[in-house]
Amino acid sequence: MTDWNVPPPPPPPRGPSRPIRGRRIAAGIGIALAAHLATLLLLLIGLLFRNGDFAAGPGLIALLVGQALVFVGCLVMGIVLTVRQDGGVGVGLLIGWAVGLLVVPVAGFGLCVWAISGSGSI
Amino acid sequence: MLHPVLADAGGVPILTHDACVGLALAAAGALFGAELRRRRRLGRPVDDRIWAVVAGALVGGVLLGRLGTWLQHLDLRRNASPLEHWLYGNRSILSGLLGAYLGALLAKRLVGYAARTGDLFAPAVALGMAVGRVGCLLSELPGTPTGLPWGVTLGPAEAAAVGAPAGVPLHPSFAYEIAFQLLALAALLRLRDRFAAAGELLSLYLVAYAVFRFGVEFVRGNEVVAAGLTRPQFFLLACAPLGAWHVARVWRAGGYARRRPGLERSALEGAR
Repeated sequence: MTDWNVPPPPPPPRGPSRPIRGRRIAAGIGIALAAHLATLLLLLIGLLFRNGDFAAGPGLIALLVGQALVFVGCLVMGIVLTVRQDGGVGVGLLIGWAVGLLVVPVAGFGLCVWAISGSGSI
Repeated sequence: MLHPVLADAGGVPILTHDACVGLALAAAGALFGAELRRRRRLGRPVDDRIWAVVAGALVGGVLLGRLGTWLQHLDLRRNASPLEHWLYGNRSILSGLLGAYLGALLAKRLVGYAARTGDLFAPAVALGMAVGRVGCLLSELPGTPTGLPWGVTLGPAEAAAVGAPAGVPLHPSFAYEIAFQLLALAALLRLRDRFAAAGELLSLYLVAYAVFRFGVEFVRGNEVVAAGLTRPQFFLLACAPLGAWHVARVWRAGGYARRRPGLERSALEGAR
């Protein structure tokens, strides 16, 4: 029994895991909702400067591109931070993205109705 | 009968269905939080990684709730593109539930959360569904024609808006579902902490809802696609073997026996 296999040392922890705190979750939710709101702002700007055809207008394109970026950003960062047990920001990003996705179509629809009925062009 | 627009805020319409979805989320969240506090009071606090599971369930539910109905036709060319479906397609609570379940499982795997969580979620899901269906009741096609005394009759404008016959009593199928969800909520609150196997409340609720939904689809008024069945019924039939197998497995392991000290662990291990 001279050639004992010495197991390799365990890998060092990737960083200190923090307990999940409500304040950090709220911060993550706030960041995600702010990103969603920014895409709505793009929609609003596009609606104000649209030129006739709404469906192919810049507002809708800006909203779609913005939403795609928010989707990728929130989900990737949310999952990475959650797995690293960052203390809640990642969880907040994921929750905020999902809740925002439910709210954005409602607010976007309202914005479109408001902008279109305000100008009376449709 | 129908009130698709709840209010008008400075020219911006607030849709009843969307408002009810928001209220459903808030109600479900409040009940979930109350359950967490109850467990803390009972000396069984829940690991705070549960919030990662909540996030996974929300993300999975939203994603599949939107994209789960994309496959409407077996001939793929007849389906809308995924982008069109994401923007304008109909939503499905059935695929949303499946997405939430898968999202929660994935999140638990990611953060290494081994405990069963179904008992925490089940009452909140039932309450959220009950509240959310109020929005459907007030804004969607109620159901198929009926001669029963509680049938609801739509005026010409309402009927035209939802594609129903005017002046004909219709099944209030969403009211049936609200009643089911409230009964399920009462049963779930009564049964919590009762079963030997933890986490089984959600499984039983999902099986019960699947059976109820399969039946209520016959009076819902959804499009019949083949053999007298609707798309949700085919979805449920596809999922039925999995649900039946799970319940039978836990049953054989004694998981639905009354909870006693020491039994929970052995029943759970037997079921796995």
